Amino acid sequence: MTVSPVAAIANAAQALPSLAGINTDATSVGGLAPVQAATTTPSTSGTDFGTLLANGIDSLEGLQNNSSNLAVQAATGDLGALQDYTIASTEASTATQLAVTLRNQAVSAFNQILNMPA
Amino acid sequence: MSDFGAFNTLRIADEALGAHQTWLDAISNNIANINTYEPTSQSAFQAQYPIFQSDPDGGVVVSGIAESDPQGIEVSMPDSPLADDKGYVRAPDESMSTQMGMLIMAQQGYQASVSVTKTAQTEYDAALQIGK
Repeated sequence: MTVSPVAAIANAAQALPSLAGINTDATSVGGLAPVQAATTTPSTSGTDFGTLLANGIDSLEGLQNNSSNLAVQAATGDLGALQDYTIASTEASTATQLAVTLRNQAVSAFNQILNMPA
Repeated sequence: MSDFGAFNTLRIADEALGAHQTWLDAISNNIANINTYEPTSQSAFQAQYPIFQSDPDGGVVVSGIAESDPQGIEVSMPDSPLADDKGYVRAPDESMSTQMGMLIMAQQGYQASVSVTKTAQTEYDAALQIGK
């Protein structure tokens, strides 16, 4: 069984400790005690970004598989309704674009943190 | 419900396209058989009409197919090999003008749903621009 590119990205996202450490709990970001925040462990009440990303990519993979299956049906003449394929294809395409946009934003945010003056 | 709620508009439009496709299929069958005669000893060709029902989750589904009267219309065609002693055959109980009118309705309903999918795509593209 080969690992699809999408699943590989999902695994990589979960393995990234720096990304997983980014907490989506807004209260831990806006606090006025940066020194204290740096010394205490991050709050675990929010879902971490890596998990969110991995879940999103799982959904994306489902949409892409659905679209691929319907594409095969269209090619073999087994497709019952044309609109099922065109709509599944649109969903997969839009979801992929959304995932890419989120990934770009995450990388951008990560780079901004890295480029902070020491 | 769809497993991906963000695409509800597309799912609803997909159901509408499917329902109208069924209607178009039924109309084409009705028109194809408008000149199908049967002997009076048998039932006439029955025109088919899909019954549309709204989906509680949004959308429309075909809940059943209604059929025209199996008695049909008895017409005099003495020369037909199907004619009975009195020269009658059974014609389907449907008119070409009604079927053509429904054909236009079904086609425009289908096209309207295609417009919905295009609008949804434009909307999703616009939403993606927020993140760029």
